[in-house]
Amino acid sequence: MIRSSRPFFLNLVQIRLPLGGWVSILHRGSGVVLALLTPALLYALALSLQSPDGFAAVRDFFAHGLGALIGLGGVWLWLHHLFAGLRHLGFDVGIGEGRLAARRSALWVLLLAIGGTGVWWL
Amino acid sequence: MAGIMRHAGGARSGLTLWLLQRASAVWLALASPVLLWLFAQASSFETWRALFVPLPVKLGVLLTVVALLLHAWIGLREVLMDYVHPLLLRMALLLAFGVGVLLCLAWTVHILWSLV
Repeated sequence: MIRSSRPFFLNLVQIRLPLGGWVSILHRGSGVVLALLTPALLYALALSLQSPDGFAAVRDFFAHGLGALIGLGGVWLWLHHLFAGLRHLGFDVGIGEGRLAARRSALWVLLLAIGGTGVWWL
Repeated sequence: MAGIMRHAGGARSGLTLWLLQRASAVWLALASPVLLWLFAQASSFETWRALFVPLPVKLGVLLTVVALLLHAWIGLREVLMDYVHPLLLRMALLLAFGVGVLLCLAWTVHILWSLV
């Protein structure tokens, strides 16, 4: 009853409301994945510094196919976690806590992370 | 310090971890562009390897890895507290991640200081 009596444009807002929720879930999810990937990152670092062959192996792995996909995925997770984290740090000190500002910054986090990953790819 | 008893997992250690999580976050955010610049220098094995030889670079990378590991462990702890309720299992996982973090730290020191 209450829902149906609301103006139509609020429904659009309702659709956009979960945006902050998506950013938050992705922040946590990306954090867990990145945390668990830390040993793999150290392995790549060790291999790349060990010998010219190791360096070439790491470079080739991230250059094609599945390895390139993993690399891009990692960059996206890192960027999303970084931007979402900066947004949360803003909340900690009282920046962007307003409803509209928070929603706008959530969209920016999503777009910047995807855009940044695209720039990395190019 | 005298006379202050701290309980494991007490409220005060939670606040300390909360603060450490934010401090390490700021460090990692500031380090990200520097790391990006570092990766951009990786044109060949020789130049890549030479980047890590100076002591200030070794210390900077080590500090960043320490921040990363601290940040990761506190974050995982947060997730464990939300989703893993049996105390024994939670503590076992927390301990396992802790051991993993220490191993990663030792490994990082080994990687960096085997370069001369």
